[in-house]
Amino acid sequence: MLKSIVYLNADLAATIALRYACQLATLTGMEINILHVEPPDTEDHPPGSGWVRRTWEKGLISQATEQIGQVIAMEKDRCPTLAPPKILLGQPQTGILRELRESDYDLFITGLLHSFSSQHFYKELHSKFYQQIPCPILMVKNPVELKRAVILMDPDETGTAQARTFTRLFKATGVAVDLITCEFGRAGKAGPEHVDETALSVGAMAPEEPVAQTHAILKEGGCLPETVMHLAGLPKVVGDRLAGYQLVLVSLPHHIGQSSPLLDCLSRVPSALLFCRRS
Amino acid sequence: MKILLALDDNPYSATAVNEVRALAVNTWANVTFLGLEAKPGDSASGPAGGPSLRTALNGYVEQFMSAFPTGDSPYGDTGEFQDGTGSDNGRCSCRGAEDGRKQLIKHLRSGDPAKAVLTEVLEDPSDLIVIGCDPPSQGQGWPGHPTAPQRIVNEAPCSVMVVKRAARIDRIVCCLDGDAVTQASLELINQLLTIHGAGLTLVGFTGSSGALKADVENRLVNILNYYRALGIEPLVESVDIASLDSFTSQDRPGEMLALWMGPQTLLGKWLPKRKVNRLVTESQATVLILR
Repeated sequence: MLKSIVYLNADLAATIALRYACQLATLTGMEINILHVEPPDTEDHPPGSGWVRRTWEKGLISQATEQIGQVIAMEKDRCPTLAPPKILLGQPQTGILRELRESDYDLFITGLLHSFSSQHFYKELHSKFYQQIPCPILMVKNPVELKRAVILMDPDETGTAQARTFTRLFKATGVAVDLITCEFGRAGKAGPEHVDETALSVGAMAPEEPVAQTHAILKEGGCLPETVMHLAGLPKVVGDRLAGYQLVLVSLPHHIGQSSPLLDCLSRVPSALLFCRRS
Repeated sequence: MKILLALDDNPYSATAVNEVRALAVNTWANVTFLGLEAKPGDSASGPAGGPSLRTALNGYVEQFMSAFPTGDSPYGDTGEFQDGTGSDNGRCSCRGAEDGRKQLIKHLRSGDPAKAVLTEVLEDPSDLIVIGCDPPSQGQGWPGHPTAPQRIVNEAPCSVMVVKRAARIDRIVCCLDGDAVTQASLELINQLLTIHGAGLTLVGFTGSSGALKADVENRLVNILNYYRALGIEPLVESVDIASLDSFTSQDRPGEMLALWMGPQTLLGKWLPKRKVNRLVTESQATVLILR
């Protein structure tokens, strides 16, 4: 059984992430663990040491447990198997990374509200935190019903990480998948607001070509893609074209520059993004 | 609910009638058909030699009533405008027989269309004004009175829907703003979702940090839960209030933009009249201003 961990706060973005995770658990049977890391109030230094400090920490954890418990209670009907949350005290990113390293999780799930501006999305993905997460990261922006996913890949780079993650998660679940290669360098032939779509024939490709390799992994895993195509257009327009998918799987780049057409494109996707690790 | 439907004899008015007809089928709203003409007895905005506004108004009512099976209409007999129908305080009125459970009134006013609509709504308050208008790709507001829709949006004391001709609506984008959201406006959105089979996006405004304020977030959660209980799963989007201008002015094919506006609302402060004017004029899609 796949083991996932949801980072939960008492806010809207995290609630959305938990709802999406519950849907995945129902579809795939994966185990959901819940983690919350309560940051100590920065204005109040820890009071003293010994039992005074322990009592203060207990108070913070008790308060957080109650708040997170209320969020979980709202989702209990949809996901009755939710286990009690793990509540830690400290800096959230440090606590999450420690937990991910100590236990062997297959998937880290977090929420980020879909935003009109890509600035916030960029800021998140530029942080060292995302680069240090050792497993695939599912970033949920909206609690959409998962029916169709897409594996997005650069035409010249392999999409095997996405294909392996998809087959591992969704084999025999009935979730449809498409395989799309993207080129962001130019506008569509019909104008900047258009995307050029070209169907790709995998049979006509050499087996070592990245698309053929990715396709083969999906086929072997029993998740034959329904559509294989190439999209060319400006990043935001391609992103809008992907809005019909409820999950987009991409490879998390090792280095993200100040300007990234891929991130521009992904910032427009309103549903969920699954960042896979290249082996 | 009471709807004031502002009409001339251009094709966009027929689209507005269709919108109100669909709303009325679900809500049995009281409806006033207000025909607007530049000079008494003359439809200056219509095509030369075209039907008079009175005939057009009778036709709109017929179009509206076609949604209700004969003998099973909540509006009863609607009556017809005849030449020489009497004038009362600048307004020609025609009421149907008093056998309807709901009210359907036809009025004609002449003169400046925006002024006529605002006078009508002051004399006989409505919850919603619906007005048709050409999208920028097909024309310019109201022929002869291009700024009429904007003036109505800016000055009306109630909600206003500006319906664009042949507008297909796949998604309604609702910009939430603090406590201005009322139950009645949520129900109106709910009706529009049903009528168009559209999806819903709820937009919350943020500061430069990208985080929603606690009260906006709570409001968003409550509204999200309200729609979920109705079986509607909205999308959520956050918008930095500083990007509001580019957000509202972007091209949104198939989307209806719904904004809660008022002097006390954040949107009311950030969207001055000229921006609202531009929004109403330049949007290809239907715009709904909620008050």
